[in-house]
Amino acid sequence: MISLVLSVAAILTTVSSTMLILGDHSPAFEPSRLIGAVCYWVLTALLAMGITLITRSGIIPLAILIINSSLVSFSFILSKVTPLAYYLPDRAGADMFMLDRYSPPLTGGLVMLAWVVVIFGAAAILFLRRDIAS
Amino acid sequence: MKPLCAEVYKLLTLPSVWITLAGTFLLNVVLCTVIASSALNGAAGTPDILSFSFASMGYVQAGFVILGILAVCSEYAGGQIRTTLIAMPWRCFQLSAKLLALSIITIPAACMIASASILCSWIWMRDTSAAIAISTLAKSLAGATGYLTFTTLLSAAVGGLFKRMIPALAVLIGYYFVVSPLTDRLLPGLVPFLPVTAGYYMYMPSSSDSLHVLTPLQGTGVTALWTLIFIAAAVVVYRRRDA
Repeated sequence: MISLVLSVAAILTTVSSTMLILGDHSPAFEPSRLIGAVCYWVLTALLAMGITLITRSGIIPLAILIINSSLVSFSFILSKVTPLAYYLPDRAGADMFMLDRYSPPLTGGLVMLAWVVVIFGAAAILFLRRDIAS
Repeated sequence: MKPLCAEVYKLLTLPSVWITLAGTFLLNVVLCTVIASSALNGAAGTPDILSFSFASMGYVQAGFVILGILAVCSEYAGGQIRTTLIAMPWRCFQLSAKLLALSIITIPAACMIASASILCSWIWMRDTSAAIAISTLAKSLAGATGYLTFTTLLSAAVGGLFKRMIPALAVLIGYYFVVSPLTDRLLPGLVPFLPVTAGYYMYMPSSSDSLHVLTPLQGTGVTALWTLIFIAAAVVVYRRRDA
């Protein structure tokens, strides 16, 4: 919920500032891409929560997810080696709002949702079965 | 001598240090293989082995940033810092011993990881590329080891400033992977003065087709200066603050 509100606010701010700065050159505002981007960020937040529950440390998911969304990204490099890498969560999720797509936006969203469900499932099982002591 | 031995022993018996180093090593091998094989499929002409072997440096430095932060912040997490400071109240001396112990552990590890990346690229590319001169190899290896050690010390100093792992990690990884590539592209005039971008010239061999702003020695100087600034800040703050 919080990530939903925050991501909507952030994306609307970015889009309006882009329109202000670029003026006539800015691309048309499509609400479907806004929804796609919001979904991507919410799912990324859930993915981060799932990975944190599994690894029980803040460091690993933080490092992995920030590096993955930076200019040097694991998924990007792997996608040059094998087309299977397009089904990694961040590459698939990017199909929801980017213009150069590998697969249709809905498929990308479903792939990312599947990743989140799998990781949450693993996190739930581990959370129930593991000892609290770290 | 005893404080140094104590700090080295503390670091050697911290499991997260070994996990981080092992993870970084594996990541390095995997990435070098991926990069070298994709370069073989794509590029024409004779690729330079050294440039490709250090292409994975961007990711490896993340592992060393984590190492530096863990070395300092793990003491604050469980309250071990209080025991440390009771045993050794001279804070400047203790922090210097800790940073020296960290470099004693980091230098061999960085050397091994840099050599592994050169070896991986060489295994993939030995048939298609020119031979490497030993002096170039030694200089690049020394530069890479130095850069990774400076990175670790800088992150340890920043960890000492923040005292908690997550904020330090978020700031450092955010800088190394988001802010630094952006400044590289948008503000090329600042490139010689920033720690990460100047450190790049420490290990990349000079090639004829790229514009080299700094020589390796200049890059070393700039990176060392930034590391010293952060270490000095960490020492001053450590002495004045509550543990």
